[in-house]
Amino acid sequence: MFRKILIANRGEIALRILRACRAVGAEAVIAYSEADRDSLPVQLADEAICIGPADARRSYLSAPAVISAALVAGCDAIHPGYGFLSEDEGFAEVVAAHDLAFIGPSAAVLERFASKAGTRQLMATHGLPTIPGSEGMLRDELHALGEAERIGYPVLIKPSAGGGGKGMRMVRTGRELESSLRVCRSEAKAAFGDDSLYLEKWLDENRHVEIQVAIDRYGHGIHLGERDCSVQRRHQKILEEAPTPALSDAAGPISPRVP
Amino acid sequence: MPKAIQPDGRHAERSAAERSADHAAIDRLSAELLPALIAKLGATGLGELEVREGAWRVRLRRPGTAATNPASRDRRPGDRERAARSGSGSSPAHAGVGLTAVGPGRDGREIRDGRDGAAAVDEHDRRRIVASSPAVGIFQPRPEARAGTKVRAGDRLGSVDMLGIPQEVVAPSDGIVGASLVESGDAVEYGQELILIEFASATPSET
Repeated sequence: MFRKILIANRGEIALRILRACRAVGAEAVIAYSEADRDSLPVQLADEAICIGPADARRSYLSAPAVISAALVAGCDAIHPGYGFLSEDEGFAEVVAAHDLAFIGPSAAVLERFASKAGTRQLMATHGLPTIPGSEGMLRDELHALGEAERIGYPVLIKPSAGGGGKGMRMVRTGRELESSLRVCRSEAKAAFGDDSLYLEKWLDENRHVEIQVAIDRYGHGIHLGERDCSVQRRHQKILEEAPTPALSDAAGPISPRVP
Repeated sequence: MPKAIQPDGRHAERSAAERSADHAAIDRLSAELLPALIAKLGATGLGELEVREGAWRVRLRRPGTAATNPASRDRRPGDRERAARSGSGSSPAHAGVGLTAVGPGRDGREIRDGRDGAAAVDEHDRRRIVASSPAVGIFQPRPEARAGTKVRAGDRLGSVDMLGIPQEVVAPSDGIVGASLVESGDAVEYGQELILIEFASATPSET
């Protein structure tokens, strides 16, 4: 078990990790930016270390600052929480290179799931059902129009590097698709630094039900049950409900098969 | 303005030689001794400092010493710095004993953020100039920038090693390198106070 854990996050996320540290008897060091100097996690942690100014790019998103803080504080692990550097495979790799444990998926796993289009492909090769969509990334307008025609309108334009609902547009016609492509590209570029887009069939009457799965490095897996996240605003979850009212009992108890 | 520096009682009927000796002494005090004392007072957290030399006596006192919270010394460096910055702007001149600040940059260099005017903080404290850490890592001073060295704003005083990448510690203003608040090889956090910068000598026109 870890002796001393650096928490590289803030707010409610940091508090949860802090509580987990207490539960497993590990010391908790919070890395904070100047904007969070007086925050609750900073007050409650065993140690606090300022890693940068309020600008997240120079604090919570700065891999060197976070790792340097872990080293000078004598930590043996970094917990990135979620958001910020938590899904950055480069960060996970550098953390490991400094003989620190990255509490999260390995760099290889993060890399595999970084691209939504790649993830779709991976699932399809394992025989899992996916929503009909474009083959690979959209190369140009012509390719997009052809793929949309094949899938059938309405379709959803999605950034491959996306998250948080940014850069997504539902279009019902070819004309709408043409005018939306450019906007989506620039939004994706600005938000994720990557303007790769792909198409998915738009499902009008849908529900968003997800199952979270955690697997350790020995291959032991657990699932955390299903949750219904259908109540959204601008593609951002507002409410999560469990169990979901959408699945009938016939669907049975959830028993995920881990490949 | 109360007279800050007084020869012991004798005011009247002095010879020209005596007067010029006094002036020379005042010049020397304001140019050399006072900046050093002000820096010392700021750095140590002492409430009062007195120096005697011949017939002269210089005493510096923080007006709010008793009133300001002594526990603030135990907080993080950043907290202290912030408390020090948020002065109330109260007059530093307490009758007879308070010293008005002597030195250049009296108007331009004060760092204020004015977030709260509650703490009564001495003018000297607000004028405290410190080079702070640009990153979290291991501090290495630059051998050429040892205490007593004259520096210009932007001069390198050392570096903080962040994962093998040295981040420069620079002088925030012109002055003389003063006491180092951390040791070479110490782990420092972002914004931590590292090296005091004492004021350059005062210009006589300001005394």
